[in-house]
Amino acid sequence: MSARLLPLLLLGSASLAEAQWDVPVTEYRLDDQLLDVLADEPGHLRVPRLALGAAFFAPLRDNDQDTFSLGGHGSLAIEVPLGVRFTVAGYARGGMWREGGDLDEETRKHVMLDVGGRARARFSASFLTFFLGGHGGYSRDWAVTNDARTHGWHAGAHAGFRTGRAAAFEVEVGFNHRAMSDRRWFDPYLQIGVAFTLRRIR
Amino acid sequence: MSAPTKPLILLYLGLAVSQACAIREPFRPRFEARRMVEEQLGCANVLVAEPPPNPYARDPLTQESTRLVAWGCGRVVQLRCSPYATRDGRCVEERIYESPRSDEPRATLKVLTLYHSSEGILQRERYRIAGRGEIVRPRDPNDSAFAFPIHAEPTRIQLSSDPIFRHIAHHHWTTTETRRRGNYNITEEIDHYSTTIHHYSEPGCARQLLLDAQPGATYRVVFNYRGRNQCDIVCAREVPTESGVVLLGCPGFQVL
Repeated sequence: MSARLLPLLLLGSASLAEAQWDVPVTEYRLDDQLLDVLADEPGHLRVPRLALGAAFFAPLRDNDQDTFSLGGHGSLAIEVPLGVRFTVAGYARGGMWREGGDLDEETRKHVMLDVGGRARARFSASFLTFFLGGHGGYSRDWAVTNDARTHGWHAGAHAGFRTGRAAAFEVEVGFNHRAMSDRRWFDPYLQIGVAFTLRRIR
Repeated sequence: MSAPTKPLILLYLGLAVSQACAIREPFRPRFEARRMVEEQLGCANVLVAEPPPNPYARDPLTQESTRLVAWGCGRVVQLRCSPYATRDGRCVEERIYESPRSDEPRATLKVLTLYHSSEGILQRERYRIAGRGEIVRPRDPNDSAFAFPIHAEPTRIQLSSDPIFRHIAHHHWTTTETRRRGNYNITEEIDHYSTTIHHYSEPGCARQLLLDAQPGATYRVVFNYRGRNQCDIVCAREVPTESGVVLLGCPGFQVL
């Protein structure tokens, strides 16, 4: 059959079912996918991970100070090859917390910025990756409606697990030291959160 | 702890328990596979992981096996291991097609397989791109084309479609069990039943085509499957115009 006639034959059948040809182009390259794969292997992560998440924070001691905070956090993590899965990360998170007790309503809402670092060891079981680590950081708060300021540091331990390569659930307990003019708090706290890996950067 | 925290903690614990219960795999092939791959590649410190789903490797005959990617010894290989092969078998290296890199000149190939007859429970389609690997997929349930990028170069492609059959075997066997009760021995016959399902393919039809793919061009290939060793291929090049797509001949097209 002549090559010139083939398009005509094809046109005849294809024009009846043009929708059959209107399909997306499917792409796959292993080296693109390897970034995701490598990220879950010990000692082979050479790519930073950018994650965003939300956390729920609550003091474990009810002292009419903090009641809760809810905010987002982002982190940039680079795994280091130390033979085990060991991650060091810096993070920054922002959020709001609210004071309880009989303080004026205006002083109750604070905007919080918290920077810190953390280290964690990871181990896998099936498709779950568990992690256990410690962290510490410094936070600074600004009251929304007045000049009240607090600042302080916190340290703690956290544990959690990741499902697949994207979502992480974590529980964190720690101590929070906070100061505002002549007032001091030193409280244990509990934080639960979820984080999603946005992307891995080459 | 304040009141609003409690429902959230309960929600979180519920999520955690549900995720933990979702562990389904009865065993973990990764460590066994790593040992096997080290033996196969001939060096130590090979790492093995499960890659994400590959749209080019949807083989209906090997859905029950595990795809792995291994790297080490200066190589990256894709492997397919059957679930029990990781215990006492070996993995088979796969040569799965990969798209051209974004900086490489490329064309687009659309393959539409039209079935004028079929047998078995499914058709297994394979597109072997010479020197580049192969795409394996089941027959599209909507009979739509499958589009993928190819290198803009003279390309030889083998298209094939093979019917898949299912064999169901019912097994029945009997064992005897003797128990002692008091001064008596009681012998019981126990019936056992099992069913095994085996999928296999038989040769259908295959044809090879040669195409001189040009950068940026889009080609339509129709693979007409009429039965065992009865198939043909036609090719057209899409040329977009203001009134729609016009189909012209494929440069350098030959059916080998």
